[in-house]
Amino acid sequence: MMAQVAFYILAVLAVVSALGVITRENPVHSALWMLLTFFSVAGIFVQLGAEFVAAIQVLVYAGAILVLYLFVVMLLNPRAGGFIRMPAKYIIGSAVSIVVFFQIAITVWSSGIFKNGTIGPLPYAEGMNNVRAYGNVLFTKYLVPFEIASLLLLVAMIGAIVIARKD
Amino acid sequence: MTPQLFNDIITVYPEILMTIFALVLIVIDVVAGDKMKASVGYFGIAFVALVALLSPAGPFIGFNNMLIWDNFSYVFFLIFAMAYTLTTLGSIDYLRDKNMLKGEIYIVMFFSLIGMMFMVSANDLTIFYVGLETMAISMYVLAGFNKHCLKSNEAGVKYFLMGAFSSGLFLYGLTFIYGLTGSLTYTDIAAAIQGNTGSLGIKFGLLLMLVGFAFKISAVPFHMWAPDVYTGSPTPIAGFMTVAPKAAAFGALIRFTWVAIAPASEQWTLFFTILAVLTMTYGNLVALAQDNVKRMLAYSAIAHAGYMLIGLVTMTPEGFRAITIYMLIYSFMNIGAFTIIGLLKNKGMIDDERIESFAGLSKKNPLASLAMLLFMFSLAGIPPLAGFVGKFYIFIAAIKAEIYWLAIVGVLNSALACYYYMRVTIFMYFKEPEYETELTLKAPSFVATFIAAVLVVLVGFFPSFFVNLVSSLTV
Repeated sequence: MMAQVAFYILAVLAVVSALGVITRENPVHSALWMLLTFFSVAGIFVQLGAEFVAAIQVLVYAGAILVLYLFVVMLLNPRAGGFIRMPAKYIIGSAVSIVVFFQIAITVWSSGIFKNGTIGPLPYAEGMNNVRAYGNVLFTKYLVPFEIASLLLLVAMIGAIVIARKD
Repeated sequence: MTPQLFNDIITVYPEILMTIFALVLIVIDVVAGDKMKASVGYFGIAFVALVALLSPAGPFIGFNNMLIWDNFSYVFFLIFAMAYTLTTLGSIDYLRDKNMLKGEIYIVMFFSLIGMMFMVSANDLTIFYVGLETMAISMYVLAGFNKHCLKSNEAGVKYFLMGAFSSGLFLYGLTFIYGLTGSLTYTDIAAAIQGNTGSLGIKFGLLLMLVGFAFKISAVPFHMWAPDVYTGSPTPIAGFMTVAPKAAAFGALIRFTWVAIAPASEQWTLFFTILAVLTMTYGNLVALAQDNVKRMLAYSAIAHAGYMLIGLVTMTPEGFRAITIYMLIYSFMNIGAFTIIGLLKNKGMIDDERIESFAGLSKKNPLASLAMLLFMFSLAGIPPLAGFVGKFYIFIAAIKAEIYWLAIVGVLNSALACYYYMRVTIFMYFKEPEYETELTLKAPSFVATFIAAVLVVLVGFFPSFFVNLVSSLTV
């Protein structure tokens, strides 16, 4: 019962904040509404037992991608009063969202939730959850790519310093 | 230590050595004084040579079949090592002259070598992709290294955007393959494709991945970034970029086609044929019209990728070996040519790299123009120089695979290419100089040019050493 209440709160929050994203005239406000969307979706992921995706949702999307959006918005400083004033783009955007909506609807419908009635976390082995399972694979089977990624980040850091430093 | 662990470690041992040396290079850069930054490059050369000597003879397969160290990886490592050595030597004077001789350029280049090694030794798409990104990020930095030059900035940004775009395409294809075959390891993908060659999803995924590869080897019609990037980058670095990343992409592409999509290889010959013909012809035709020698060599680099693609069309071991020989030879002759272009300075109102700058060079600097002549003849594939050997094996592979018309197209293209390579030598030897130019070969660049020129002649006359090196290669 409590879980259902929490789900409905999160779901309503997600939908309302998503509406906020597309109706605000100031792009910075849109971006901040999007932050709320990301957080409520992350909450729904936790309820589904996907803690890892939830954590990544907050860290990467709310943390990094959104900052990137804000950065671009503030850099370009668009004068046009938001999205809603541009009818052509509004139509294209609506068409794309309708297609995506039906795509998701068909997927959900064919998954058989409505016949079985419930959907819950997938079962794991004893003492396992998906963060732990992911960590296990990352540090055993995929150890080498993981280590190469550290090299990649190192060279990216050196490169960024070289390019950005004053001389 | 269990045998399994020992085997794993020895598989990745050359890369571990390279990583340790790369970190040591960073320390050397900190210790070296401002006047001594070239020493970072010299240490880099020493380290690369050390790794070449200390590398174990394969084949070793480790880490759940994800990584391979065999002769194929080793020969490609030699190509990268040669490119690094010649570029480092050839770039020191150029960079000092432009006041941007910093240790970082050699460090970033060294890191890019590690990425390339992983690309070629990967037997798994995760490792390949992370290696690819390590290489690509280093290349973006190198392309934009001349911060005060607008063209170099443009090259860096353009390379970054197109590189990110091609990586996106590649990854999108990869998700299809992973979803449909359930594995990222080349051998498992091959096993899954085996009974499922007709699947549209797999075809679509492979198409996107091969397009990603085509971007990296600058094959037409996915070449649009290449001329601007090669022209804008610092000249010796441009030489490195036309050779090493291309070699890495070819090495990885060979392993991928030979192992992962071997069961479906016949479906892809048409794709590679179209790429090869378009790349050769377009590269050569546009190079004809260039008056800027650096830009001309950028287009010629595209054309050479087209010749190498013929080896892929054959889908035979001979074809793959021919690509390896070609890449080895191409590495020193192209970097040699870029070294000379980098050193040539024009005091008039035109760009240093314009063809008019070369007019009358033979009287002022006979040695440098002789070297340039050798490189140009070799790039044109005139016997008995090294470039001819490379082309010869490529065309022989096509003839053995009974794709005669493609060999003919290749030969016609090399005849076409003669014109623009010869034009440089004609300017050097038969034209009177219009502008005041200057070309001084100091010790490091002299050594680089000398090694490249000697190799061009020696490999042309005695190709057996190089041919033996690759004759037993298998993937």
